[in-house]
Order: sequence, then structure tokens, then C-alpha cells
Amino acid sequence: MFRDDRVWNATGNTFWFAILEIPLQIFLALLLTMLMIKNTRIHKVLRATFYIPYICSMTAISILWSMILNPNSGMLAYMLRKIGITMPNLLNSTTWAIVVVALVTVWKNFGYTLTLLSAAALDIPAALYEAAELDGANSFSKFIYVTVPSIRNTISFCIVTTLIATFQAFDQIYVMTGGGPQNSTETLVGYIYSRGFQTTHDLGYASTISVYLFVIIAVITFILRRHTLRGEEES
Amino acid sequence: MTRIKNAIPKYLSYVVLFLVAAIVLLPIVWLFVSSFKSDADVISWPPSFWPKEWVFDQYQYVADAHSHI
Repeated sequence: MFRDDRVWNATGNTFWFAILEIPLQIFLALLLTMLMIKNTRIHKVLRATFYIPYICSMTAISILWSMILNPNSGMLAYMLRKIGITMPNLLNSTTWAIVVVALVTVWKNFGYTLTLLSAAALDIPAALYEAAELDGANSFSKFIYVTVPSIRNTISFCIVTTLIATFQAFDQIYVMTGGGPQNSTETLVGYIYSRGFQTTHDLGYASTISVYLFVIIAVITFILRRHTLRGEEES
Repeated sequence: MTRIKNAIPKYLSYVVLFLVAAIVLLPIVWLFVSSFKSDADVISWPPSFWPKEWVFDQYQYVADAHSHI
């Protein structure tokens, strides 16, 4: 298995996908949590809005975005052409296809992270903010020094669950690129599928890669958990 | 002075929030509106946001297909 180039390629793609996806999703959710720290009606409506993509099926979302991004008949291509830009075929480029897929995944999933984070942020006692205000903190430093430390555990939970989800990403890649141009978006789960069920029905080999994927996820989750637990002991 | 300082981020925060909300909502609304387009209308060039004529056949089809199960 370790002499198979496609395994290494898929491992690299999986990690690259995770590196693109996880920070963006967490930071976007954190930024929006910061902007929606009060529980006013408009914030509730906006939070519900951001949750809508999460309740949609990943396959439907992927088809929707590949239609929008289609350089020949897509909505985005049309709007860009109106202002004089020719839309490149992003999903056919070996560099950008995986970035686009990661962005679509962020688009779908950040509402979930945002809901968890803002639920945690709304639980922070107001006394902490009042104390910070007495010390002359503005809203940004209040967020950095009061909110973020208080929702630390939720953030680390979000990082771990997002990480597991991105390492198992399959539907969006299968629908939008199909492992696409020259295997540049083929992740480990995609390779497991194509080995086990598509071209060769090599289920034993597919199972071996599954175990390999499991070991990767387990090790990274373990390291992250230890890291956050150590943080708890310190504070 | 502090009031001005606080007013600018608040205005900015709503710009960011509504921008993200638009990016989230527009594809979903487009998806919903497109469900009333005819097959040719969906892939037509130039693409239009609103259907040329509202078609309800798809919903009819889904309702019928369900009754076969």
C-alpha cells in the first residue's frame, strides 16, 4: 500500500483539504460570533439564516454549486462576463478545484459551528463583560480576552468534529469533481470508493486504506485532545 | 468621542453580517426559484434569476412518483 503513489497523493489531498477547510470554517464562525454577541431579534434571524445550508443535503449543494460555477452556463460566469471577466473553469483546474470544493464545504458547514459557538458565547455571564468594561476594554478586546477563553472547550470540540468530517469528505468531491482533474482532488475516502467499488472490486485493499485513514484520524484527534486537556489544567 | 468609536464597528459589523447572509441565501433562493423553471430554462444562456414562465410540472411529477411506491 505504501508503494502506491495514489495513496500518497490522496493523503496529501486529504491534508490539504483539511488545512484549507478547518481554519476557514472556525475563523468565519468565530468572526460571526463576535459580530452577533447580543441576542437581539435580528441576530437570531441571521443565525437561523446561516444554519440553512447545513440542513440541506451535501449532494444537492454540490450540484447547485457546480451549476453556479459552470463556466459555460453558470450564473457566476454570466455576472463576471458582464463586468468583463472571463470565468476560468475552476473545477477543471488542478490547483483550484480542491480550493473551490473546500469553500463550498465551508459554505455549507459554518452555520453548525457558528450555532455551537454562539450558544456557548451566550452562556457567558454578563458580569464578566461588565468587569472587562470597567477595565476599559473595547468590544474587540472583550471578545479576545473574555469570550474566546470562556468558549475554549467548545472551540476545541468544533475543531475536532470539523477535522473528522473533513477527513471523511466524500460527497462534495464525488459530485463536483469526481476525484477530478488528474486525481488532484482525490481524497482518501474517494480512493477507497474507487478502489473498492468503481474500477477494480478490490475490497481488501480498500479496507486496508480505511484502516490507514482510521489511524490517521485517531492519532490527530488524540494529539488535539491531549493538547486541549493540557490547556485546561493550566487555566 | 467614544460614541463615534463604537458606532463605526457596529455599522461595519452589519455590513459583514448581511454580506455573508447574502452569500448564504442567494444560492438557496436561486435553487428554490429554479425549481419552478422548465428544463430548458434552467440551462439557458444567458441565465436568468426568475423563470420565464412558472412551471409546476416538477412538483406534480414528484407527487405522482411518490404515489407509485
